[in-house]
Amino acid sequence: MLDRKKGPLSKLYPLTKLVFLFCAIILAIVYDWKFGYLVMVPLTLVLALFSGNFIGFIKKFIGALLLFVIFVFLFKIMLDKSDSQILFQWQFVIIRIQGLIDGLNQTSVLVVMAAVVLLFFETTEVEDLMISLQQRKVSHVVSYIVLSTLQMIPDMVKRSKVIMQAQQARGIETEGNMYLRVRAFFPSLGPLIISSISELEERAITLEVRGFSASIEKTFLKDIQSRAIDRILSIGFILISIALLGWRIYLWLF
Amino acid sequence: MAVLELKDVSFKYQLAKETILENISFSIEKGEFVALVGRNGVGKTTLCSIMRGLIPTFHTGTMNGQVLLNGMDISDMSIGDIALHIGFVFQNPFVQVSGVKQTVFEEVAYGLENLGVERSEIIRRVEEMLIQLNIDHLRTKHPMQLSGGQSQRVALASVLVMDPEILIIDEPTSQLDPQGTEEVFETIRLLKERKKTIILVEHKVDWVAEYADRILVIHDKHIVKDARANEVFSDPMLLETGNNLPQVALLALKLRELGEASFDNIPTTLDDAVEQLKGRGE
Ligand SMILES: Nc1ncnc2c1ncn2[C@@H]1O[C@H](COP(=O)(O)OP(=O)(O)O)[C@@H](O)[C@H]1O
Ligand SMILES: [Mg+2]
Repeated sequence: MLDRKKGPLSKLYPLTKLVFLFCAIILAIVYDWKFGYLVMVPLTLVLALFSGNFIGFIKKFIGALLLFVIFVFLFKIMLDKSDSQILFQWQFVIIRIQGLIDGLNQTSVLVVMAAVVLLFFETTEVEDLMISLQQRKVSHVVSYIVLSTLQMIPDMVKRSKVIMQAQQARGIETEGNMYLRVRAFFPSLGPLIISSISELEERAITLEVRGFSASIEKTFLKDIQSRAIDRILSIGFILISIALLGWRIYLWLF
Repeated sequence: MAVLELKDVSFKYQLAKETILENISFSIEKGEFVALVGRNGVGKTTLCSIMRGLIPTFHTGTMNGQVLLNGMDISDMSIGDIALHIGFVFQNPFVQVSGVKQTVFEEVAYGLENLGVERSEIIRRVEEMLIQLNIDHLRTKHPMQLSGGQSQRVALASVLVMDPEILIIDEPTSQLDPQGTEEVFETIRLLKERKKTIILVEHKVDWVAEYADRILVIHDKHIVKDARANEVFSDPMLLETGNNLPQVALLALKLRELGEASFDNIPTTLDDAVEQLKGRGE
């Protein structure tokens, strides 16, 4: 009935995990694919063992990977015009080293992002995130934007399924090969976006009516506190990131 | 002084061709229980949103006139602070789930958290509200997994628990069976005893006639009648605006037409009818 998150990582203060998330993404941006694929992704997978739902995490992660890795990567590899060493050749499909590296480089940031964001939500309740933002006096507007964006994603997924079904019922093909599915998907975007926006608006009104932005200090029934471990970890993440950033800049300069 | 006053309010939705409401003026005193009636699509919900200050901030359009809350122009108040004075229960219960809470208990408590009410007080008030609206058994359920009727009660509880001085309630019984309807009206009656000002949109005129003090009839963009409940509901003119009359009044009118019975004035509530018919038996 209730799917309260379990596992040790869920006990951390949401902002601690948020610090980790941002550090990981920034480092993935400044370093190349080796850091992303060989350090951050394995690290995230290890952390996911403590999420309380490793299997669920892996499923979503693989789903996300398939989505853009396949697109970006294949695209990149095929269009590679360099004359680096040929890795693999089959009829007109030629994979060269350079294409592979470019592909890895271009996807590493996205893959790291997907991994840490998924891990974050696998271990953090939206409500806890809201509470921690509000405890830190983050403005209502910002916490509302965070909240609604987070809610919109699963909502849109659910709704796109409903819309797909409706289109199927009207005889539009949404199953079968990739081409047919892609072609069926685009007309559904319009209704999807409109219904999501109108829902967002209604939800904003709902929150307003319940005093969400009243100029009063809120009470929180749920007790969410930043503990010593949270402070240690946050400072640790930040120091490590600064050191790695410094190292990277040093390498660039000299 | 009036707690809520509308001065010559007109409104047109941004994309609509025509104005939906024109020259609406009325004022409501503290402790009054006012019902809005009118056929579907006449603009009752729109009027509620205007009174709550959601129009023109959230639903855009052209609005003229003024809404005064305790003498203050509502457009000068922050939309968040209006929540301290006015409770608003929407027509559609499914869209008024906050989306941040995992249980009905927490959902009902949410408004109080936002108002900064002390923890023990929150718990006390939520417990009381759960019992009053007969949703205590749902306390650990997820707010998004309720039936229409359950959702409607939770939505009502979530707003009532905040204990605002004015309550605007838009068709709170549309998804409820007769027993649920009675519970809701009983709850509203208790609010009235506590001197709350209540504005209710409701199609079930038999109930409205029993409980409300004053009726505003909206028809074709205007308020065509603003009078005591027994006056409005005993007048067959109301039928011409697409509204119903209470069964009791219909029966009395029919009897009078058939020459079967005469009434000093047409009764609109059961008690009223009983009072007038007493002692007439052969
Ligand atoms: N956001 C909007 N934009 C344009 N027209 C709207 C909007 N909301 C409602 N309307 C229209 O305004 C009219 C009155 O609606 P409403 O106030 O909900 O009536 P009621 O509550 O009396 O049934 C309806 O015809 C409706 O289609
Ligand atoms: Mg309505």
